[in-house]
Amino acid sequence: MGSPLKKIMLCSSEKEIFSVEEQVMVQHSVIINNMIEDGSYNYEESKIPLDCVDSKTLKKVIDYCTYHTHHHNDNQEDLEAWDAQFLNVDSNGLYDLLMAANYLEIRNLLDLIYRTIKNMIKGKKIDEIRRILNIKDHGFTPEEEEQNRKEYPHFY
Amino acid sequence: MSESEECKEMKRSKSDEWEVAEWCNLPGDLLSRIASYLELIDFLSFRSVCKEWLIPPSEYNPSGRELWFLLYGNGEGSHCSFLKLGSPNSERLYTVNFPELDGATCLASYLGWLLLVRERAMFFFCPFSRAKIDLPDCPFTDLSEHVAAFSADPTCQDCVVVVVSRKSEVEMELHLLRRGNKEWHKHCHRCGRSTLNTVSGAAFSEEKFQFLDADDGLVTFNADKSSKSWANYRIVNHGSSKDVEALEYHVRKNMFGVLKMGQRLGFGGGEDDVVSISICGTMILGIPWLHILRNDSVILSETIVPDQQHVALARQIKGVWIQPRYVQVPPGLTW
Repeated sequence: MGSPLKKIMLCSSEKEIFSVEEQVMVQHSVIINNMIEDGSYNYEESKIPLDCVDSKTLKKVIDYCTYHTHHHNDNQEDLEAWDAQFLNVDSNGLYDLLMAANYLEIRNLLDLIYRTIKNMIKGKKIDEIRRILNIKDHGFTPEEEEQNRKEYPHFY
Repeated sequence: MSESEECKEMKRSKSDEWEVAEWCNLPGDLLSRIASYLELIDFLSFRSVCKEWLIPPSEYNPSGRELWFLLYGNGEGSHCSFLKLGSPNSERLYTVNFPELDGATCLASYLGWLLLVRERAMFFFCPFSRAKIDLPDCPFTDLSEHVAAFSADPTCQDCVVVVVSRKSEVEMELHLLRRGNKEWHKHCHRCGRSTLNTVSGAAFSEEKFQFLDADDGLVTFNADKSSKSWANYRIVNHGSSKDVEALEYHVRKNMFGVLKMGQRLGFGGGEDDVVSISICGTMILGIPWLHILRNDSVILSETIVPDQQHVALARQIKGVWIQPRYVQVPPGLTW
């Protein structure tokens, strides 16, 4: 576990540098924790390149980790309210966050995203899910799609 | 290591589809993780959202224990109605097309599988994944009071299927088929209706097949290769005596009425819509939120008939209780 004042540098896909308290990232990201633990991070020179995470998403991820580091003693309700507000993003934003959380292995953020997706899908028909997730090309041939609609008429 | 080298290192490991916010291109492991959060009914929608999601995670098991009711054979093509029991406002009736069920009758429902018979053809069918396993033709032709049970998931090597029926007023007949075998074997058991009336439930429990009637009769059959044996029992209230053996499940009868299924399914639309339903029971794991079925239970089969004056008008329908599982069969698997 790093000292709370130490900072590490994260580099987004746009090469923007974010300086974050080490503890914040170490606590949440399995990948960064491993990097710090095995000594592959050099505090003087290293910047952790996250080519797969754009600045906007990286900023959100850091916000999440920072908030949860400093507010982990808050009551559950407040944390849930904060999380709900945090994930009030469009489906592209959610996708980016899912990819980033998966890449950095931030387990509690992943769980939150999965639960959010579950709630987005719950009770919805297939056409609605496609609209919500902005899926334009579902990849089925017209014949396959027709067959599906015939087999599961109530799901569309 | 210079920064550019470092960046290259990371680039190589990134997913190819990274740049595109395309839900259809979700990596397989994330897809399975999402699926594992979904209830079965949402999972069924989820997997048809786009083709890339169609390949279902083989380990998908719906979270939470549910009870569904499937209505089939109502003479409207292969349209079947599916009802997931839940709180009144969360309940929905789904119409699903199952050509597989055309002209078929369900003899058993267990572990998410239905065991069906159509004339002499017998097969397992999972209505959730549409997986199907054909069995060798069955040795009986006309169905009367036939009830079946199987010991394990039909993809398991040691699965045994039995079908019982009453041969005469004094004799039961049982046909047995082991996984991998082509031949059914017949076993008879002398027992009158006072020992076991119309068989309305069958289960595999404590390594034995157990056949139940609606009047507390119980007959067991041990299908063990070396020591096949029958035994007769009477079901009594627990706690009455020390030498009473305990059943590992509760026996539940008249569940169609008790759970007000007619209402849930939207029957009772007046005199014009009279139905007669023969319902195949099942064995389920306890459902915590459904008080009467909170323990592991055998739901007995039953036939719902309208009153005497309407009997002639009634539509004949079949129904089956099922505790869902999303089961898949490895390609090329045969019985």
